Amino acid sequence: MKIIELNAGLLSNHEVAQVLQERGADPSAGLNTRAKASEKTVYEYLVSQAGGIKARQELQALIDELKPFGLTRAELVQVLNLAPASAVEVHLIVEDCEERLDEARVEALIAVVGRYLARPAADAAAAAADGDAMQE
Amino acid sequence: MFILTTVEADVRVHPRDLNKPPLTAVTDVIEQLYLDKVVQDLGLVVSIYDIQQVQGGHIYPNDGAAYFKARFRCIVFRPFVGEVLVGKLLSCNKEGLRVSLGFFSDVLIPDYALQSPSYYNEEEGVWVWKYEGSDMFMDTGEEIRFRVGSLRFNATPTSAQLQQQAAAAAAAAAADGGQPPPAGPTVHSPLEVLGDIDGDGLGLTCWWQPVAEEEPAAT
Repeated sequence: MKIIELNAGLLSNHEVAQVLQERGADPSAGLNTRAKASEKTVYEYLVSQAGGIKARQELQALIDELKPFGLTRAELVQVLNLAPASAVEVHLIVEDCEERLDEARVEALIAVVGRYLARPAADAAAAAADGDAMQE
Repeated sequence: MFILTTVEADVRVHPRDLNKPPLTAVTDVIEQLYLDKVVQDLGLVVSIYDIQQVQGGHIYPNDGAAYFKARFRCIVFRPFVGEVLVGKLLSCNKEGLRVSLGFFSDVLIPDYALQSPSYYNEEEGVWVWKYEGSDMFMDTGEEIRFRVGSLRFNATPTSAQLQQQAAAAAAAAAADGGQPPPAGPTVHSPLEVLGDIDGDGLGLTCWWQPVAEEEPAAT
């Protein structure tokens, strides 16, 4: 076999989960699907991650809102994957954070992320309130 | 942690599958060959994204199988250096931690890459981080956030190497005091991800929860 293009693109967990869902890796899809057991395991892991799995349209709105922060592609994918909820996590993801984003910008980033990628462990009340707006 | 890779491969479809439409037959063979396998220097193939091109279908003399050339894209698990990932702590031993990502269990965090200062508690068999006087235990099953340091691909050992390994294990056990060598084959990990948890925000996620009372304050 020959690798034509090693890296045709970086995929976020949400996109991979969507592909797997289309192949039937969702537990609710039943047993007779194209997905193999290993794909189901991957899907299970992705769904358990912070922020859960979101559809492309919701993510597009989030990506547009994150544009002014000037994140590189790798940092953007990590934000989508990890759904940072605190300054410490943002500092981990963004290189040279102190120079590129001051405290107010970091807080703003966390707020934007929090609106789209609700943490499963977060207060159910807040998530439910936001959830009504999201699930239209 | 996932990338999209374009691959071109020769696919052999067994004669018994020749009644299937060619695309289905080729896809089935590709899935069987690549899914959940580690490709050297690439990563763990998680899923097939799409098939871009299928050419050929020649049948050669003396072999009833059809040979195709397929170009397809697959989703590969290949975290980049510096990426932050979250997994579950699988086990501890004095050499470090082993973290699992559900579908991938070969993430190793060596002892020198733990938060400093950490020490290994022999009786309980866990690592402990001494932070500002209090002991933070790293219990198994806990969610842990780590940073990827490097990827290590191990080539599948040849039978000669396996024999050497068995001989070395027997010699080590004999030197230890005549005990029999550990039974069973040693597990070979084709891909190992080496990580570190030495930094703010890394380590058990419960240490860095924003709202609980007694976790370390972020700098």
